[in-house]
Amino acid sequence: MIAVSWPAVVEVLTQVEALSPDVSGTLAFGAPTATAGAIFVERGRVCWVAARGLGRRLRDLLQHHAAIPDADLDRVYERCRNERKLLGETLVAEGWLDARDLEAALRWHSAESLAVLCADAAPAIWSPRADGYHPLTSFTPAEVLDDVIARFAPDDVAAAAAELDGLALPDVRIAAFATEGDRVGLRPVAFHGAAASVTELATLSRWARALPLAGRELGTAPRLALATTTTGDTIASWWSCGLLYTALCTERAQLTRLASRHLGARPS
Amino acid sequence: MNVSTAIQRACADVPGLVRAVLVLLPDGFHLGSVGADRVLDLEPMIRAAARCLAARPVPAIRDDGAAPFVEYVLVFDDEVIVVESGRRDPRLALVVACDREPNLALVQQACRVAIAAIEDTVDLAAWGMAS
Repeated sequence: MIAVSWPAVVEVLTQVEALSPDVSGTLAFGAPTATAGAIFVERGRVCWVAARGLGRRLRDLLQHHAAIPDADLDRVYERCRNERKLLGETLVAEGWLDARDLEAALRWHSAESLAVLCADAAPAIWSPRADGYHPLTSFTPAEVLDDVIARFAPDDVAAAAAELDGLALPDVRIAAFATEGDRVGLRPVAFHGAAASVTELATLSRWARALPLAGRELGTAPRLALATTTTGDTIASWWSCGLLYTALCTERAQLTRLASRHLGARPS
Repeated sequence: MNVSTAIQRACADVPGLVRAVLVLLPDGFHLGSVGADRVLDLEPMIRAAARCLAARPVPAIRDDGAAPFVEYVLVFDDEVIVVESGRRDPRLALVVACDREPNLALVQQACRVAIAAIEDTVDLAAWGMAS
């Protein structure tokens, strides 16, 4: 099992989001003479992530989705290698694989590859490529983060889904975080509501880190914490099953519903 | 008027008040307090306020940008801790502990009034703040 360096994953995806939306190229890991792998980016979106040594894994994932016998896959694979074509897209073009299955396999493989690359915390170096990659499919950095979380923290995702479904607050943006290590680093687990970028989640997690620290100073975690801005907007935070939830409330009614839910039942 | 008297008057309308302390952040320098026999008893509240109001990137709740956070309410089983940042100078913080019985919204509102009253009545120039 890969020990995922969550801060590194978040940082490198933030780096992708910070690129100009009209550039394409690779964000390579490792020394220039011995690249460990790269994120292939086209116009701010991730085409795929490749890590040295995981090529076989992609082939297995594609085969899992494709209705193709081993011998045929071997032939297509060899042809793609000789003609420098992409295996997945060739399988789609020749009718062996559905485009949606290619996307599923690429996303899963990219999540695993990114976790491997970030485990070494190697600095990522950007190299632009003028003509791009023209992939069949591509993903936002936030989608890639979702995939890494789904692949490596499925229990947290399930716990967050149960909590968020139970809230029934479709119009409120809520992020769930898990604590990471003794220094109270927070790693994103889920985001509910309008889509958030990795950069927004990273800012929210850095800000929210103060809440468990404040609770620690007072000797216990609060049932509910409310933080209000100069403009009157509030972030409501609470703990449930080891996860910290932060709800971004822009209306008093949203806040009232959350407060009633968390403060309604008093211990006897 | 000394600072503790000003805090006492400003917090007189805070329902369920147990103790309150006015501090200078980020160091947590104690300016005055009510309801505590020893400053040491206020240390956890002061440290919690420093954690909440420490300078760090703030998330944007709305699409039109991020606004600074000036109030934190921490609700425990038996107690509510309210941290109010100075509206004129963010280095000032009023930390109030109340029991859990009163209405939360009333406590919040009374604490907002209290920090404003303190900024109006206490001479903060001695600590390098605008008064």
